[in-house]
Order: sequence, then C-alpha cells, then structure tokens
Amino acid sequence: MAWTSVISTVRADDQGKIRERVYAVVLGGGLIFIGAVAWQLAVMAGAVDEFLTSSPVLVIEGVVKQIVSGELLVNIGISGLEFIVAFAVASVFGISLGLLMGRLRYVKYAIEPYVWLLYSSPVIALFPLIVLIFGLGAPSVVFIAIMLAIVPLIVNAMQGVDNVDPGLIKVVESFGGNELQLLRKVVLPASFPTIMAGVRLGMGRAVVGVVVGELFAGQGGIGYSIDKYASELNTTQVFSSVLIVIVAGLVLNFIARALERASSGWRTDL
Amino acid sequence: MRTPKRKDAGAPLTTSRAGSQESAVKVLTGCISIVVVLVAWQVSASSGLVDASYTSSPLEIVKAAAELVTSGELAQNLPTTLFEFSIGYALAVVIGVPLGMLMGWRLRVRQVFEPLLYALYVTPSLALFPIFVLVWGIGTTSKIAIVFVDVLATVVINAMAGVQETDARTLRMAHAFGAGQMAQFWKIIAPSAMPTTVAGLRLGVGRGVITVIVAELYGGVVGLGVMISAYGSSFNVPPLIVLALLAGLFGLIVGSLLRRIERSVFRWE
Amino acid sequence: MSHITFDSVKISYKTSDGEVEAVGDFSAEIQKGEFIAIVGPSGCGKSSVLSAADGLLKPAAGNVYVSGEPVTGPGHGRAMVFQDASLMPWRSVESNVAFGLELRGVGKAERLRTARELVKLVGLEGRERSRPSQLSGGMRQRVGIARALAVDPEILLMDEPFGALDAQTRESMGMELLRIWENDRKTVLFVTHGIDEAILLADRVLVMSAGPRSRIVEDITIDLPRPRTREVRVGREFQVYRSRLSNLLFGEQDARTTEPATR
Ligand SMILES: Nc1ncnc2c1ncn2[C@@H]1O[C@H](COP(=O)(O)OP(=O)(O)OP(=O)(O)O)[C@@H](O)[C@H]1O
Ligand SMILES: [Mg+2]
Repeated sequence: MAWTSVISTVRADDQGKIRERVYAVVLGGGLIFIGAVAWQLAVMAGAVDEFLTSSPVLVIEGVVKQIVSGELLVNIGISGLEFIVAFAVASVFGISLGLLMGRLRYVKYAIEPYVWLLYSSPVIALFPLIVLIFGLGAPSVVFIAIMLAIVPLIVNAMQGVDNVDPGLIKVVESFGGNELQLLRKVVLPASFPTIMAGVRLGMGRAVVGVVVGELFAGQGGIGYSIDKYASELNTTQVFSSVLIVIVAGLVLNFIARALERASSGWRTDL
Repeated sequence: MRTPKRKDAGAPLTTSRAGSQESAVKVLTGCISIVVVLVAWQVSASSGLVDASYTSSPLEIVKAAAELVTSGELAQNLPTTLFEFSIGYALAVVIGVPLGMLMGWRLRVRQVFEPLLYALYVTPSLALFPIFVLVWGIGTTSKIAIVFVDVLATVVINAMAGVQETDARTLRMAHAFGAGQMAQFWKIIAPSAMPTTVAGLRLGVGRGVITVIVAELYGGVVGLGVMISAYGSSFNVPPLIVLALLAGLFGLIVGSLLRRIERSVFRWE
Repeated sequence: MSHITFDSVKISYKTSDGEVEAVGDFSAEIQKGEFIAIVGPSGCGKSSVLSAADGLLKPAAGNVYVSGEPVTGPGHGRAMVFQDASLMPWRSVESNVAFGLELRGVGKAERLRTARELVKLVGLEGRERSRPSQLSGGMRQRVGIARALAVDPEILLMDEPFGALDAQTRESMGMELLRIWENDRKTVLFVTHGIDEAILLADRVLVMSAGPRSRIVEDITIDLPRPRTREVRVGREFQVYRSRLSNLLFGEQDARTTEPATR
C-alpha cells in the first residue's frame, strides 16, 4: 500500500509539472502567436500598409533569405567577434580592477567616482570622438562595448571582495599565508558567485554595446544591417535583423545563466 | 547575558563612528582623485603633450558649458529631451508597476507576459529604435516609445521580483487571520514588494536617460542628443563632452538621490 | 624559560576619538604544556591579547615572547581556533582541515593524510567529504580545531571556541578538547566567557579587568587532578573556585544568576 501511494504521488507531481510547462508554453507563446496572427491578418485585410509595417510571414522569409544568402553568417561572425574581443578585454580588466579596488580601499575611493560616471553616461554620445581615434568599424564598436560591459564587472568584483568574510581573511593571515594565497584561496572563491553575476550582466551590456555601437559606428554586423536596412526603408529586413538580435540575446543570456550556475562547482578547484 | 548579545551591544557604536570617519576618507580621496585627473588633463592638453583637439581640456569644457548656457542653446533643447524622457518614463511606470506586480502575484498572468518581456529585457532595446523611426518618424513620439520600452522591462522585472520575494510565512499568517486575496495583496504583498520595485524605478531612470539621448543621437529634430550629433559631426569636442557629462551627471545625481530616499524610506530592509 | 611571555603588553586602537587603549598592561608567564584560560568582561581585550600572541596585531608597547623570541608576525609554531570556526563553505571538511598545511606548501597527498587523521581525532570520521553547511555548530567547531592541530603547533590559541554552542555540546566539546590535549600537552591559551568551562579545562585562569586599559587582576591556579572528568564539577573545590571567579567577574550578589547555565 505504501508503495502504491508513493508512486501515485510522484505521478501526480510529475503531472503537475508537465501541466505547468504546458501552461507556460501555451500562455506565453499564445500572446506572441496571437500578436503575430493579428498583425498578419491586418496586413492581409489591407488594414495596414505592408510596405510600412511588413508582416510576420515576410519577416520570417527575410530571416530565411539572410540565412540562405550567407548574410546572417557573415553578420554573426563580425558581431560575434566584436562581442568576444570586447567581452574578454572587459572581463580581464574589469575583474582585475575590481579585485584591486576591493582589496585596497584608497584605490577604490579614487576610482569609484569614474566608474559610476561611466555607468550613467551615454558612452555612445562620444562616438564621433571614438571614431576619430579608432576609425570607423570594429575597433570603435569594440571600444564602445568594452566601456559598457566593464562597469558591472568592476562593481561586482569589488563588491564580491568587500563581502568576503573577514574571519576567513584572518584565518589566512594567522596561518602565515601571503597576499597571493589570500587572493587565490579565499578572495576569489568567496567572491566567485558575485563575480559571475557581474559576468552575466557584463555579457548583456556587451551585446548592447556591440549592437548599438554598430548602429552608429559599425561597418558590418547585425547592428549595422539594422541601420542599413532602416535607411533603405526596408522594414521587413529591419524586423528580420531585430528578430535575430532578440534570438542572439536570449541565447547569450541562457549561456550566461548556465555559466553562472555551473561555476558554483568550480570553486573547490581554485 | 549570552556572549553574542553583549558583543552586538558594543559593536554598532564603534562601527558607526569608524563609519563616519571612513566616509570622510572616501569623499576626500574621491575629490583628490578628481582634482588630480582634472589638473593632469589640463596640463597635458595645454603643454601640447596630447593633441587637445581630440581630448579638449577642462578649461575649454567649462568655457563650452558656459557658452551653451548663455547662448540659450541648452534651454532650447533640454526641455524636449526632458519631455520625451518624462513621458516615456511615466508611461513605463504607470503600466509597468501594476503589470509587474500582477505578474508576480498571479502565475497565469506571469506566464502570459514573461516570454515577451524577457526577450525585451535581454535584447538591446535601442535595436528597435530604427523600427520606431520607420513607424513614427524622427520626432518626439518615437523617443517616447523607445524610452517606454527600455524602462518598461526594468520596471516590470523588478516589481515582479519584489512580489515574489514576499515572505511566505507572513502571507500564511495573514491568511490564518482571515485576510482575503485583496487584503493580502494590499496589506502585505504590495508593501513588501516596494523596496525592490522602487529600486527598479531608480535603475529605470539611468537607463531611460541614456536611451533618450542615444535615440536622439540616431535621429531627431531637437534635444540634447541632436546637439551632440551636430557637434560630433563637426568634431567640436568640448561641447560634445559637456553634453555627455551633463547626461551622465543627471543620471548619477537623480540615481543617488533616489537611492538615498530609498534608504530612508525603506529602513526596515 | 617560560614558553610564552607577555611583557607589559599594551594594545590600542585608532578610532575617530583618537587612540583608545584597550589593554593597558598585560603581563604573564606561561609554561610549556600549560592550559591557560583567560576570562574577563566583554570588550576587555581578550581577543586582542590573543591576536597579539598570534602576531596578527602588534602591541602599542611591550612585547610578546615565544620561547624567548619576540613575536613579529604569525608564525609556524602557533595556530588559532576562531569563535565561529571560520570555515570555507566551498571546501569539504578534509580540505578545510588541510588548509593550514596547504598554505605552508605541504604536498597534496601528505596534507590530506594528515587531515584525515585529524578528522578522525576530533570524531568526524566519515564526514571528510561533507561541506561545512551540512554540519552542526559543534561539528564545525571540531573542524576548526582539527585545522589548527593539523599544522602541529606548539601553541594553540583558542578564542571562545565554544561560545556559539549550546551548553550541553559546549561541555562535551570541552571534555573532548581535554582528551586531545592530554595526548601531547600543547600550550593552550583559551579565551572563554564560561567560568565553569575555565575551571574545568585550565591549569590557570587569568582574570582580566574591564577595559579600557585592562590588565590581569587575578591569576588563579586550578589545583584539580588530571585527567579531569565532568565529576570534578560536583566537588567542593570546584565550587570554591567558582564562587571566587564569580565574585571577581560579577560581584558578590548575582554570582549565581549571571552564571551561564552549563547544565
Ligand atoms: N578593530 C578595532 N578598532 C577599534 N576598536 C577595537 C577594534 N577591535 C577591538 N576594539 C576595541 O578594543 C576593546 C577590546 O576588544 P576585544 O575584541 O579584544 O575584546 P574581548 O574581550 O575579546 O571582547 P568579547 O568578550 O566581547 O569578545 C573593545 O573595547 C573593542 O571595542
Ligand atoms: Mg573577543
């Protein structure tokens, strides 16, 4: 008797979970689907001008066209490379600087004002100057993306260090450990979750930096094509490119979250 | 007379004293750092060590700022930017806070809107701006729309998180006391979601300010971003920096003001 | 020659009101193998004295000598056990115990072997791979003790190691500490708030006055036979020591009521 009851509760549980999944997909997907259908019907009924508003069918066709022509691959290659370079540079500099600021409070106090200013300033406003220095194209885009991405990386690394249990620092001191050991064995592992959250935020801002940077200073990539198609008044391809950006954003966010979750297991090895 | 209690009793006093001294050190170090950078910048520019046509200099920037103010140019453009920002922001708050709270409270509502908002949240909303321009032109409407979209995601997600963080025990307690759904929402869920919600509003200010300016930069008729674009294309660097700094400082000041208000209002946190 | 010498140690802290002299004049001679308890009102500077002995903190005046050498920084002959154990939550029990050896450059195989031995010694066999979060407070404290013992120090510095534990666990941990200590009779400096605990464990109890400028007001030799068991508590001598210490710390009247319940 006990067995059957256990099994039946497990089943009920599973069923509940499956039902929730179905609800989530149907309800969330439903809104998007209804929106798309309404849009399509409005176009088909001639209620809106297809040239101005495009239509879901056209947008999907546009994406397919970009895939077939290889444009998508080229764009993803360019934007992806810019993203990777910017994000890597921002991570290395941002995390190191943040750790340094967390350990040395005078460095922190001296640099913090600039970090917050950078955070709240529209870096892209300086794009004419940036282009003048780095030239039109990838270098400028990478620079803009670095400036955007670096802020959460710095801030989180700093806060991570700030929040390290002082007792643990004392343990290292008491056992005669040096600053390097302190960093490797206590500060880094203890601040790792916070740093990884910064990495996720930094990734998001690097994407913004690349896309918006390309919008203004690019010579290729997804953001650049959005701008190009917009100036050609090619609504369909603008929508198609934006759809690609959205998918890329979702994928990257998914990767960042997976990375953040997986990273809690690495700490032992640090 | 357990040990931990006695320890706590003495602690806050010393820390708060050390704290006020520490914040003095912080402000002082920050100021010194800013002065040093400004002086180094000025010296390197006026000594010709770096090309001042690229980097400008603090004095030139101050001069440019004064000019922008006295010529009335700022007064001509600033209101438009503020207007676009305020309307877009207000719309996002008016729609976003209730929507977010509802999403946090009611699973089904959340399931309906989450995918869409999540997509909006993880993608650079400025990528949508060219579409808005195609639809509404380069005037005020497209700016309001982009600020709205950009701020909305932040506001909704924070309001939702705030509701979801409500202490389940408190809710059970209220339920045990016979509080109905509505009473639970207004007396427990909404107040306890406040701090996170307001933090979302603060984050929204920073994002919205940047967004409105970048949008104007992309295409506009009047506004700070349009000025920036004009000075940028003629490579007139000092006013360019003034305007970028102005936007940055605006975001910074409003942000920290809101943070301070948050701290004093939600002291229980 | 005594093992540890506190020679007029003065400890002060900088605050916004200027220098505060927490410990005024702390002098004591501690012999090798002695178990010393330090008691005193909260905030009188017990932790500070211990930190000075470890070398984490430099006295404003005076000196701490270990085997005749002045202490200038944390050294290999000493190890500290902290009140809240201060374990690394991301490390397993054995890796926490091996931590001190790891910092001192001992190879992985060897330090793990030592760690496992000590885990056994403190009675945590089978929990080598557990994370601190999976342990009870008493178990965590055992890990902290094992970590200190792992580096085989001559001097064990313990800052209210059982302060966060409930009375019963606290007492059994004390007895266990004695059992381990009887093996090799390290020199122990043991800070505590519990009078019973101090008498039960120590050869001598140093009683400090309230701060600022605290000093030792009494140095009481506990002349109870070793190895000690819980039963010494019921003896008359124990009660005599107890009321003497209570009087010193709390004054006559409330000697009974303020004594932390240890039963
Ligand atoms: N870092 C510090 N800065 C300023 N004052 C300090 C600092 N550390 C300790 N003090 C002061 O020195 C005095 C002694 O502190 P200490 O921690 O040594 O006392 P204690 O006897 O261990 O107290 P407790 O029994 O509560 O653990 C206290 O008055 C405390 O406020
Ligand atoms: Mg103490």
